[in-house]
Amino acid sequence: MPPATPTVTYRHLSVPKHDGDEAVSEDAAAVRTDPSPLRAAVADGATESAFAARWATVLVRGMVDQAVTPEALAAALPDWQAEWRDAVATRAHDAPWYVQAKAADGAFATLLALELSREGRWRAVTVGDGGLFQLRDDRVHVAWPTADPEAFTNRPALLPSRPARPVSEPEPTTGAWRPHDVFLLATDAVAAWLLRTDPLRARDWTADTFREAVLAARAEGTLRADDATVLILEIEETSDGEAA
Amino acid sequence: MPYSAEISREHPTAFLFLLDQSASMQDAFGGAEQTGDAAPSKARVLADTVNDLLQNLVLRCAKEEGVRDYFHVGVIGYGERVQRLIEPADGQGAGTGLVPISHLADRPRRMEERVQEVSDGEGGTTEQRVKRPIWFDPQAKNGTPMCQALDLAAQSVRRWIDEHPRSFPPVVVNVTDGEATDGDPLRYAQQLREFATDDGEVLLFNVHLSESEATPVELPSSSDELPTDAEYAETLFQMTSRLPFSMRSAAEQEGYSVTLDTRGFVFNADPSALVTFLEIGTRPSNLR
Repeated sequence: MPPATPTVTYRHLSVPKHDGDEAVSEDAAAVRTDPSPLRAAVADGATESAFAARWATVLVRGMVDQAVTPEALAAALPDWQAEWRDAVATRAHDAPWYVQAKAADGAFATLLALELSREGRWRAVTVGDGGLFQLRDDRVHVAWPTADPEAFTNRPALLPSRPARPVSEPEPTTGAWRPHDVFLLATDAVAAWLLRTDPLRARDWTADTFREAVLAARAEGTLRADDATVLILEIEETSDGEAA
Repeated sequence: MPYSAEISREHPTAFLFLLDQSASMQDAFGGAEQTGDAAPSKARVLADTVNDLLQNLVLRCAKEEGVRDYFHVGVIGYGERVQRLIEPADGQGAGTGLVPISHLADRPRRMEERVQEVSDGEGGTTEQRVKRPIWFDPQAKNGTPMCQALDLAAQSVRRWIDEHPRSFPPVVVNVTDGEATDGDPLRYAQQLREFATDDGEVLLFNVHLSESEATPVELPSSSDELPTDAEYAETLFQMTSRLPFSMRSAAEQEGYSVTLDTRGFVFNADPSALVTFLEIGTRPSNLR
């Protein structure tokens, strides 16, 4: 296959954990469609940390500007940590003792990122329990890093916003894409739910139908009460392109 | 399945600590003098440990916008008298003595500042000033009115359960260094453990602080594991609830081997066993 730029449409669907007035999601997502290669990322800020939504946002925005490899992630992490530190410093300064203590502890988040190259290859990197799915025709071509819905624990690997904290090793994988493939990047609750039910259902989700499905699944207990986020990327066709 | 209720602001859980403040708490932990330590009293170690624990419970609920009321917390001291050591703010937790944790967070008795060494991320350390909240100070006087403390605890949790019938049930942790001086605590313990939410009966855990150098007996599954010369060890064992699933997991992560019969009991605890147990016993399930 000659080098070709994937033409991708994407949807970012998210329903916060508490579906009410106080709704604040600590998940974040970002997609970079231009210039090639296309990159997408989702991150899930850990509930027990503070300023976690900010950290998740810093991670996804930073990751779509980096090569999707463990080495590039590790090299960029100190800059992301500095960005988070500066953003939080002013807010924590005059805050009560517990906000200062939480800011000093730092925030934690999982991160999952995908990159589609012009050569028909893709690569991904993950820290934690986000789920990547590649759907082809009417089947699940890839479910990574796990296809077992019971593998999701409450203690995933995490990226820390403070340099003093240990960093979990990022895991990489690669594959090949072709036109009409659909990729899903889901945070943990949605990933486990899709594995338990049917990942193919996500292809038809819109903001409204996703929200309805999330609320119904939470009510019946098949989806954990957690922020629910999925990025759906559909490769519509390819166009011949010059080298980026 | 019991003991599986998700803990949320709508359905919080409660922790109630019963702290022995009898005269013998003035003594150091067993073994401390022999090792030549300028040993702090059991009362001092217990007050420091519980202040630290309350701080950690606050931090587990703290977000940038404030403290979320996943937990309600109470502390009852028993010695010279039986009294609630944390006073609820107006209208908050009145009657139950169990205070929403955000109120606890905003009303320490005082703040102390200490300097601690933290990693600088480059292999070295740097000094950092940290503020430490203090909610109560050590006391040690008179006898051990454990039965009265258990009775007051029962009144607290009964009222709290009326208001929170679907919650993960209250966890009551009793820390003592000896025998009750006001009756048979087993009967009061059984009464306390009969109260239940839809999710399970009240959990009562016991930590006995050491008087001797003997090795702590941590999380026993059978009374056969206890020393035979201390009758009240058997009584405390019988008073104690089995660990629910989430706390068995927490115990396993701390390196203990557990069974379905493992009780939330430590006999002859040294300070480190006390801290470890309090960490396990306050892990009811995950916060949502």
